[in-house]
Amino acid sequence: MIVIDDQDPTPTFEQLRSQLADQIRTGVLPGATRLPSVRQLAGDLGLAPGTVARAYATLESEGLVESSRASGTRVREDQAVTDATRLAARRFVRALREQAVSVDDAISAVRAEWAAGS
Amino acid sequence: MTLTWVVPLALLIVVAVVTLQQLRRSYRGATAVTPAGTSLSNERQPEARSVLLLTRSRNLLAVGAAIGVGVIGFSVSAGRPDLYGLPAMLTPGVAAIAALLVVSLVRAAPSARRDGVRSADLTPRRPWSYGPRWAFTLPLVGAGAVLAFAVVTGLTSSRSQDGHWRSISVRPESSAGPYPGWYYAVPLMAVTVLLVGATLFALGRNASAPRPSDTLLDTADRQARARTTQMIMKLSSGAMFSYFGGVLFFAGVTTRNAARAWDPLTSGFERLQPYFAIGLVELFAGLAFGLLGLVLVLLSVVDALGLPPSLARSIAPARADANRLRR
Repeated sequence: MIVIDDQDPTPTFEQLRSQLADQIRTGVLPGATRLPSVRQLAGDLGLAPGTVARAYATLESEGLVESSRASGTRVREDQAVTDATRLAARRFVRALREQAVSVDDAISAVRAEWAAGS
Repeated sequence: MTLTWVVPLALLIVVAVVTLQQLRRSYRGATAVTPAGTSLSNERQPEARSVLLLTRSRNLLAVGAAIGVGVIGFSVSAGRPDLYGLPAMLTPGVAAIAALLVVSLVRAAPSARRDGVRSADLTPRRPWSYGPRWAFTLPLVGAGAVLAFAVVTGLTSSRSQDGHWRSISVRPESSAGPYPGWYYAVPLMAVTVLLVGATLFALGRNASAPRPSDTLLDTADRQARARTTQMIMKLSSGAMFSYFGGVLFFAGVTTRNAARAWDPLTSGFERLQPYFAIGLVELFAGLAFGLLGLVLVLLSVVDALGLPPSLARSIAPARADANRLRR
């Protein structure tokens, strides 16, 4: 399921791309899953077909999906993060929730630590 | 000879009974009492009613287009006897194509909201997503039968006195017409190919049309698409079987007539076998296929004008409220 919220300041293209990427990386959309056509998804979400096509193209350039004329757009195999990664993320989230840290602050902290290479 | 009329009469009665049963079932579905907890909230009623109204209007328009094309086709055929019934033979197929084009091109879902929060399912909708796989083979079987039979009648036809390939000769001194030779077979094959194309186009459009933005209307939307798919398959197969039956019937009558010759020695009709038997088989098979086609077309009209049960249930409270207000 994809949800687009016009009240969200994030552009609709980014909302769509990030939700699809998250679902692929967390295994909700397993490898070889066929995604709906650009026309179907654009019609259902009330978006311009170009927005959906751009999101699919970006996901393809990130290596998460592959497109072909014959079989449409499919999720590439082995794109989901490992169980160990999910477990580590769960522990991290639980620890920050206990300290009432917001998701934005948590992500900022991860980015900062990642950049610092610790 | 009596059997020739008893069989179609019996089949017509069967057609009438089946159609009435379907209409009653459809009516019961449309006026079903709302079970507790299945109704939509008041704010979602307008969208449900809008889906219903648009679907019904589009289907009515499709039925109207088919009837209009039918009237024109048969009028042209009656007004142009020099065409030897060709327009009448093509009319069921062309009328079905007209109805399928209306179903394909007229939008039956309200436009998706472009503000607020909206959601979409990531399951691809395919033309064959809304019916059992075997149902999709029905028009293909019908088309295959029409094309194969058209080639057979074309190859077995002979030229009539006016030079058209619309006669059959089982022996040099005995020929009969109108036989569905190349004169009828070539346009018939063209209409059949167009009808298959129109069917695939309509199925694709039905599957890819946008969903209602409200997820609570998912079940109703799925049922409306399944109902439209059924309607398309029945209309397409019904039209094909109708004109296939007609062609088979006329081929049978003509073959049977060509296989009968007056024998002055016995003062009776001589029956040239196996052509006479083939003609009889074609005649009765034609009646059966024609009536099967008619039943399918009538059932498609019932599907077109009936309501998907969940949609009927979901808007039932609003109707009850409106009735209370009227009183």
